[in-house]
Amino acid sequence: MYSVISKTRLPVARTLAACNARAFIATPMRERTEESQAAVAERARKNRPVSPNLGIYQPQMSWVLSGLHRNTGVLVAGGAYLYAAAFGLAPMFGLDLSSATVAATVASLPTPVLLGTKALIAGSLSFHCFNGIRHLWWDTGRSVSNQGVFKTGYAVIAATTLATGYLTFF
Amino acid sequence: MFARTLVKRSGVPAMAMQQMTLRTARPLLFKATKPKQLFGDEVPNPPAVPQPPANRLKGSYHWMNERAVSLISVPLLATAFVYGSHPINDMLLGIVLPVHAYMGFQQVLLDYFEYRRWPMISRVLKGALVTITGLAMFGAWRINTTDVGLTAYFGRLWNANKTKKTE
Repeated sequence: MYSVISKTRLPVARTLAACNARAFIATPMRERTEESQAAVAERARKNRPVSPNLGIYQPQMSWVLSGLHRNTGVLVAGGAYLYAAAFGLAPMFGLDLSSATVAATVASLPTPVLLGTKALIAGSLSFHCFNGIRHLWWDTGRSVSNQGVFKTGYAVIAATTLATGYLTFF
Repeated sequence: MFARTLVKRSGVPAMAMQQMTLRTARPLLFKATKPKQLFGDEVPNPPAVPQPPANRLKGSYHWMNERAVSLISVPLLATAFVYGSHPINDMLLGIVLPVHAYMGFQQVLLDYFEYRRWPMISRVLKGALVTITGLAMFGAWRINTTDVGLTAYFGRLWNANKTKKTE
């Protein structure tokens, strides 16, 4: 079948005419599945890579201390909640959580375990307290500049280190 | 409910009554514009979103309550660490610390399980938070009444190995 455009002067037309056949250009067909569009989208969403976030964000005084404030708060408060609730419900389960009993158990723990736990609790509690005071200081409008954040941040870190050292070992 | 005093103070008609400003000793960092004086029978524009009624437990009052509880807990904890055990201090700690923890966890829940995105989970977790806070306050009360008190209890556990050494 001769193409209608074979008589034109355009180079494209001449090339097409020279081919003398229609070139069949198509993308390879994918297998037809019964998957719905939603299922396909779900699979795509699950296999999609996530842009780098926490792994590449430079640790800064602002967000590291803020994250620590929340984490130490949750740690200390969560632990205290569980312990206090356990103490409240102890008679129901026949547990004896009186101070003498628990103190004896704590005393029998190996020293590294004891020191490690005490350091963790002391560090978390003191950091949260001092950073909390820093937040209250900010809430009065003081030191809300970059330098202020750094100064107060260093003060909190120093106070936390001292308090943790004292509470853990003395 | 808040009709009398606010109308007398500002002379603004009923609909603007919802704006309760917070009076602090220090001037606010960011100046909020006050509603302009209305002439004659002018009526203020109705809010685009219906304003919830002013509540001393919500909004900026909740923010202030958070700071108040945090502020109170500082001298309480300082007393516990510096002075030691005292029944009144223990009682106050047993009330203030769970409330502070409750408000902190509430913020965490708001951040990660907001109601509009997670309607079921957020309700479940809120109920769980209320339950565990109640249990914790009950436990603190029980420590204060049937045992040596919060501060002394913590002290005994903390210094357990030391008393063993000196014996």
